Amino acid sequence: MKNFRHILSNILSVFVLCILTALTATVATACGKSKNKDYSIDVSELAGKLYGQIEFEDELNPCRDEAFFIKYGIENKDDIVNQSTYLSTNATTEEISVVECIDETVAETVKAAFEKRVAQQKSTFASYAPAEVARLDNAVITKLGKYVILCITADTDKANEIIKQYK
Amino acid sequence: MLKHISNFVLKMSCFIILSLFILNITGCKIFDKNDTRQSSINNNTETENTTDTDSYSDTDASADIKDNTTEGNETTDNPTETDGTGTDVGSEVESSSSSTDNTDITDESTSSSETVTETSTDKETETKEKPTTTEQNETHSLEYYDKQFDGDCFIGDSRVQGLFDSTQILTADFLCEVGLNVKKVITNEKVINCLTNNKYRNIYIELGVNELGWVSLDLFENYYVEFIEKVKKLQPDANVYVLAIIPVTKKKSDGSNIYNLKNVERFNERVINAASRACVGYLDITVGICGEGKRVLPPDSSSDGVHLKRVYNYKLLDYIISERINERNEDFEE
Repeated sequence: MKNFRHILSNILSVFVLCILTALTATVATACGKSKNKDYSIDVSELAGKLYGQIEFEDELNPCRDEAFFIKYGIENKDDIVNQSTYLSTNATTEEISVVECIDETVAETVKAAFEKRVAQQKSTFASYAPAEVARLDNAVITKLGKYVILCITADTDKANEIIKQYK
Repeated sequence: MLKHISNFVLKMSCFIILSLFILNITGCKIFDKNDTRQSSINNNTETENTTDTDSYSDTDASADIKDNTTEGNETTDNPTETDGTGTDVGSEVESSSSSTDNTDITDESTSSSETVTETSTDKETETKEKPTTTEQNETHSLEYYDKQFDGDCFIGDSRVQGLFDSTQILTADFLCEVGLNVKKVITNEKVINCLTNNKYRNIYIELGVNELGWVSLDLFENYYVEFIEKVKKLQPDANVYVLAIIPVTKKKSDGSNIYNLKNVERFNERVINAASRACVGYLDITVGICGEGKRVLPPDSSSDGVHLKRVYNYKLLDYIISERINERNEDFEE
């Protein structure tokens, strides 16, 4: 009887230990996933959706790779895997850019470049076309892993809704 | 002793088996065989464009020129002080963007084609045709324009910025800035630096729309002459062309006291005078953009009545190619 109690006690203690271990592993994995999710985004598809599903006031035109580097002041071309960008005719500040970088560090740099671009546009258009400042204030700049998305539009709800599909 | 060892082995076995079981039912993956770290890399061949990188850096420097010079207090050369509507140029967007609103809806399986597709979750959303960089012009390729304007320089305001943004000629320098005018450009550091440090074959100057509210036409003309003379001095071997002020749409003209067709014509007369006084070429690009005998922008040519859409910017470029000294046409076969 004593021996049986001893075995039962051992089994119970092992069981509790296992549950605790599994719970720890589960929580750790979940946290890791939320921070380092491996996004896989077709930049052309996402930019196309933003272009196609949002009503822009101005005509937007696709941007060649070389023009993209010039526009956003990105010096190291090898840092960018792919990009899909649409620029306005300058009638408005509307703009779309979806970029795939080689890693998250570069993505942070590209995000900063987008923020700088928006700030410059705000400064330029403040006296030229003040109505554009509101649009720039609400510019959507989102980083998803090694991807960065810029969308300057009056319909930020729609832009966020489209981007949300990729989160 | 043996009893203790067997007890330990039993404990460890139970621990491992139960751990694996619980991990499995909670969905945790120790080894994910389907780890798709390789994302959908879609290397665009244009990334490897072999165009001269020097010209990029030059253009880069010019893309966001910041003129730190302080604007003078003369009431005659600041459009904002003439009627308080100096921000008119960029403030109104006409509802003419429908020309691009192609509602061609295609199946998701055609996502690699040139039309924007829809997913099952957003079927109610209309999509519009997506333009491509490779088919920007029906008549000529991008390489054609790159070649035609290789080593050239465009100087101007937001309309020239729009010319670069929509046509993206990579072989020319675009020294442009939103709000630039004939007075500011004379002392614009980046413009002067680029003109000092580079050698251009052709230089095209397109200014004037931001000056339409100026009271003194003489002042406008004199500043323009002063700038052209400066350009000629810095670029003695270049062909310098002054481009006409592009007109506005009728809708824009009817709704503005400043940015109207009457003022465009008045100031264009002074642009012609300035070109004549400085002995440089004058290109009446209005003909190329609007058509022979027409002096008003077509309604579908601009979102705001001022800035040209892509197709019309190509018309502008085609006109320049046809009217300038065409030293390059003979040796270029598309």
